[in-house]
Amino acid sequence: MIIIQAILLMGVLGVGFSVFLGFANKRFHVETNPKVDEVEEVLPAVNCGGCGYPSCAAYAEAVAENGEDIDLCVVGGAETTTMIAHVMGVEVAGEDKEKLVAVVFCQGDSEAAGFPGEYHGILDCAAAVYSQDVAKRCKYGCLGLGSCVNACPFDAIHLSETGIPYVDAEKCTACGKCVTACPRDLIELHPVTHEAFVYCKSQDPGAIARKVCKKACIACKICVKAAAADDNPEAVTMNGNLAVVNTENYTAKAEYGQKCPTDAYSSRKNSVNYESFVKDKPKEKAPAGESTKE
Amino acid sequence: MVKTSFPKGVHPPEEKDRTSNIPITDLPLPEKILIPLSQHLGKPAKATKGRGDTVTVGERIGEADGFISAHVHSPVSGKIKKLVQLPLPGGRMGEYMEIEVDKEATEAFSFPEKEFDLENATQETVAQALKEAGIVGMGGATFPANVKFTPPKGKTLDSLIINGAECEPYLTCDHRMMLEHAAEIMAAIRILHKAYAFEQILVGIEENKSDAAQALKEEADKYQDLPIQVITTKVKYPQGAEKMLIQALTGRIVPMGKLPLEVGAVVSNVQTVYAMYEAFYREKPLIERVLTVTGDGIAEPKNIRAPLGTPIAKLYEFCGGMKSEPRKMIAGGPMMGIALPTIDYSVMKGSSGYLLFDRPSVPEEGPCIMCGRCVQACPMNLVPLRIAALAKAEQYADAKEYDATSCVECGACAYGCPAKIRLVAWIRYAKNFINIRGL
Repeated sequence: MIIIQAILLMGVLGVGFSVFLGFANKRFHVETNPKVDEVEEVLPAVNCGGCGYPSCAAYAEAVAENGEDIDLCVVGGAETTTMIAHVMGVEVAGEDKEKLVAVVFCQGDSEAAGFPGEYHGILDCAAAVYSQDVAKRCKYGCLGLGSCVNACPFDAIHLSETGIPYVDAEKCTACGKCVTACPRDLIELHPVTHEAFVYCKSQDPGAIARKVCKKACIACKICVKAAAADDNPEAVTMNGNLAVVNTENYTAKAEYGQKCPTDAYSSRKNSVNYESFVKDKPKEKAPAGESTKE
Repeated sequence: MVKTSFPKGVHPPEEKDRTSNIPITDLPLPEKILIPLSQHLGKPAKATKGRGDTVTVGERIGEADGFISAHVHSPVSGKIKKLVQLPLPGGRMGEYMEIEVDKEATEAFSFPEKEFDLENATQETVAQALKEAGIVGMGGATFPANVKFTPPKGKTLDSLIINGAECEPYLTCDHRMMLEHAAEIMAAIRILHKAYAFEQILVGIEENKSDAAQALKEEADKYQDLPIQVITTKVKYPQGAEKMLIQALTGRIVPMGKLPLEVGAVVSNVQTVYAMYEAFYREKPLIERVLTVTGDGIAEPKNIRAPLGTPIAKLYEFCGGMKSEPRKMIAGGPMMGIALPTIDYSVMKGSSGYLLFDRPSVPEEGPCIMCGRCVQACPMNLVPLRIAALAKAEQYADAKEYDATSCVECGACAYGCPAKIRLVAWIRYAKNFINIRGL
């Protein structure tokens, strides 16, 4: 008898609630744009923030509801743009965006500019800088504690054995997480096709820069003169005690750095950061090296 | 004698018996000194002398640059060889002046005793004398003394507190100063009292230095007109922290984020007071200090009076060298001091000691088990574990809500932590991030 009572009670309750829920579903239904879900579907769902929105869902909503540009997803690139275009029923406007990659502007690894002592503090660059002013000998240089490595959602940046980060250009999507993670502002995004950079951010006068790091820019201006001799004086300019490659027109050539006494001005392939990349993948032979050039 | 203290705190091993019975010895003049122009809190001094200039003892070589800054004087006679950029303890770069010492001229020079015009001592003349002598807080914070002794309009200083607590383990330099220079310290206190007319003058000394307390008491008895009291406090870390000492001696609590001035108190370390004596009675600027060189790695630990700018290597040489290969070197006390990466540093106004250890003491950081020992230890009543966790999670705004900026970085929390979490480093990270980025 009790069993029947229980079944009846539960049955009545169940029917009651289902009716109520069914009613509530119809009555309080919120209209959503189905395009939002569709766009979100084609996005990579890594929530990296490279597009400027906090998440893929937020970007999808912006595209579907507010007509945001469809080519902002740096991770998906052209493929994703085409897919969004398909979902939204629009044409892909303009030419393909150039692929950007993160470039680390420091070659001061432990061989060129090590820590003066042993470091036993917190293993995080920002914490080291803000808690103790920890630095290698160069106060502008990379600390090599790997905050950028931890920040990368794509496993595209690694520390070399000598403690300097290098970027896997193939995996890098230019989301910019490492750029904000670096407390010394050493990482920037630049087109993957551009070769020549001054891999240094030291504003120290030449004599000091040279003393603290073997690979520092010592402001000798050889590269600036070489650029001027090549009738391209805007390509490399001086900013205080540092030569800077013009990143508006990217016309600097790798040859300008041939005479650089410290190899601070070098082509991507000759930089410490690239060497480590190749060294790290010895088994894959040539293709690994080729791939970064695209 | 009343035994007072502040709530909370920790009890690290004292380790002071290595040097507490050894009288202060003068360091033989080094051949060259490397004197930094940034030895104080605030802006570095501006060099007034350049390469090739000759200087005499006590001559000003760096001028205070701004209100919170201090003059720097040459501790020796000699020739300036060069100005160089070298790292300061802590990592930042700073300007150093390298002076080649002229031994004969330096040894021949002396500061004659003068009678100080006690009757006409005013707040202005005292502050001016402190400024001219480049005196800063010598307990370690190196806050310019003239700024401390210039209360802003509308505020009065009614309590002078002399800090002889020396709560840091290992260090004994203040202890020896009180024993050997009690008379001078009292003479300086008398001038300060004349100028500021304090309602009370309290000397705080930890119980383990009762001989020093006795010496100061005897001296104090000679001046019946001074409202002075020598108080022994419990042995507890950080008894010598400014705010803790004020609370222990007067019962007043300095509000969070405010200076001792807020409760009418001014705190000076015994060595600072001794430097004041030299400034008042001999017009001698701050050019030397007493410090303790000790630790397991030192052959003969000593209390040394050394000219500012002496390379640390000279101190070790004087102490019979290192026993074995050093594994850890600390500038200051073990609780708040800074670990140095090399020995290429110099004695500065705030150097209270150098410790050398033959074993590294950097345990692995473990997970927080929420035992709350750091909360029990924190003299500022903060919640260190929470602030550290927020710093790790990069939630600086929340860390600020937990008063991360009130941390005095005494290290009591990290000392007690069973998981050996680098609490001070994490809190300092949050604190500096908030201060620098202006959250």
